[in-house]
Amino acid sequence: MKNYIEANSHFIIKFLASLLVAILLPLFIKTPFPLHVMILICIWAIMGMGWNFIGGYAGQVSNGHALFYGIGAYACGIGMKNFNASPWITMWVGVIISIGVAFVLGAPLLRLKGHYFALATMAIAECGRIIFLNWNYVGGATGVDFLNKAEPGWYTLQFTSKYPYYYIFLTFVVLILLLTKGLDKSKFGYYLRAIKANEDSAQSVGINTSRYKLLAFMLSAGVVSLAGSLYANYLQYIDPSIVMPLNVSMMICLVTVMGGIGTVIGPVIGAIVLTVISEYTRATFSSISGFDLFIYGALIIIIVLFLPNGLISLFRRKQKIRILTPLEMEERMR
Amino acid sequence: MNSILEIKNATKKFGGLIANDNITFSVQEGEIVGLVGPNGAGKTTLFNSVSGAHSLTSGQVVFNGEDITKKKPYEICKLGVGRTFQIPQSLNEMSVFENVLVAALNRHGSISVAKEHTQKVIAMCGLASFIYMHAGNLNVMQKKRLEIARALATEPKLLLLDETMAGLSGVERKEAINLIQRIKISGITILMIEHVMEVVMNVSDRVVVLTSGRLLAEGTPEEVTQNQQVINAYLGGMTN
Ligand SMILES: Nc1ncnc2c1ncn2[C@@H]1O[C@H](COP(=O)(O)OP(=O)(O)OP(=O)(O)O)[C@@H](O)[C@H]1O
Ligand SMILES: [Mg+2]
Repeated sequence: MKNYIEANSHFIIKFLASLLVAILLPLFIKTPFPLHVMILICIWAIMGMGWNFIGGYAGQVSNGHALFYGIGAYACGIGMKNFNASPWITMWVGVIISIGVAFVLGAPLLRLKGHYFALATMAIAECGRIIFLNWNYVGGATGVDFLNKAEPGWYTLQFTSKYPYYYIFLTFVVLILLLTKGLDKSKFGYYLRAIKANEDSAQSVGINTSRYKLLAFMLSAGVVSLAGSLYANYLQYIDPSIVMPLNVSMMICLVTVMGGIGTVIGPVIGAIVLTVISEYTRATFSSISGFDLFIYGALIIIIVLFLPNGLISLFRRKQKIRILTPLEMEERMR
Repeated sequence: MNSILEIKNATKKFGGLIANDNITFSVQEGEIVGLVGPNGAGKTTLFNSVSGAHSLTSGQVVFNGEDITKKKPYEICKLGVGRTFQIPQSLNEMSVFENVLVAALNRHGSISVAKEHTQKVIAMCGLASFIYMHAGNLNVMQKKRLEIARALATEPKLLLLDETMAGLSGVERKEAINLIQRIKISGITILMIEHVMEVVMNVSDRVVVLTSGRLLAEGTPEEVTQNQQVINAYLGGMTN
């Protein structure tokens, strides 16, 4: 434990400092819009961190995670509307369903490599959206409206103020961040990186690559599903074009790639920057239709051009090719 | 002594090309066997069949009494076969230390125990000064040494080395021979593909010669070098 704290003192300090800022910041905000943006940042951060397990650590770029986002959202929506079930329970039902779907789809999909996997996941998610669009039980294209003003509170996870949403979502961000941090330097984390680097090589040192890819896919599906559940409760109205469109799948991927793929805090940084840019350009340029997207796209291109390893590289010193001297060697190898 | 590896009637075809043609031989526990033959003889193909990278067209591979013909590479590694690749397959975006650590996790669930083991293997292979370097930044020689380290870190009973000494200078070659002898002393059986005749004849207990996919000769280094067929087919042009 003591060793762990020493080795991670940088992370712990930065983590606690940012957490303090995240907790205190809303107290200085008097208008609803910035708080709305912060809530969205939490949602995207959870999504990015979820996608990061399969897309970042394991290097299998999925373009279909909106499927799990949708499943999570519908689990809460239908649960509340038809069964009056608390989101605190239905969000876990959604997680279990998403993990199950990922398990069934993952086995065949993960055999595909590179672009083929990306295309296949995209196609599957589109199929999912069309199924929901034509499925009467879940409201089809009209969606599910489960605004439950009569009884706002903890049971329904519906509040009249935005503050409770923010703090609840922030808690989830923190938990999933800590989960990622724990897995980052674990056997699981190392195995996923090895698979990303070279699958044949990974197999030759005893890694059951299909099994670990499947585990990563299931984990990432579960986390993204949670984000869907939380978002649905914030919006209190969902339909397939809100929670399952292609651009949600793209955005999940973008948040992580922008922030720093395969890193612990990359997706959080990506979520902050992208959400702020997207929401504020939309608010600022609302009079000229499409102009916000133009600015958004231009900014993304600039970031990608200058920081190909993501925004996280701004915070990291460049690693030089470093050969140790005999003395250092002695020290390290003791 | 018992056979640790038995290759029985191994045949591997790539379309019309017969890369391995009905090859049968075995490796005894504790020995070093050299596998030699001209370019394209089918040596690497045989390694791939043993390590599970591809499956044989017909024939059988038995490791430690167990049929591994149809097994996957990671299962074969778990059973105790470590291999290197002729073209190094290091994990380029990861550090040298992490490359070996990933392999060490094969037998150790705990990261801290695996790290201790990693340090021993790295020291043994003379890679200690590179631990923080990304494997992608190593030169070919260093990558080959990393290949050996990764295979060793999985704690194999049998080690398959595919041309790990090609291109080494005299001194480096001596170091490498020394490393191989230390590996043998630690109780690991070695089957090695090598073009450098000086090395093969020095360290091998037995030599197996392949040409055009077929087994040409098998025996001690002396027997093989005196075999007229071998001299005609292969050594005559090589030793000088
Ligand atoms: N995956 C493959 N597909 C098709 N042909 C292959 C494949 N792998 C090897 N071959 C062919 O099989 C033959 C044997 O190749 P192999 O790599 O086993 O030779 P080698 O003895 O290792 O030669 P070298 O000393 O050059 O490494 C060659 O003709 C090669 O072109
Ligand atoms: Mg070869």
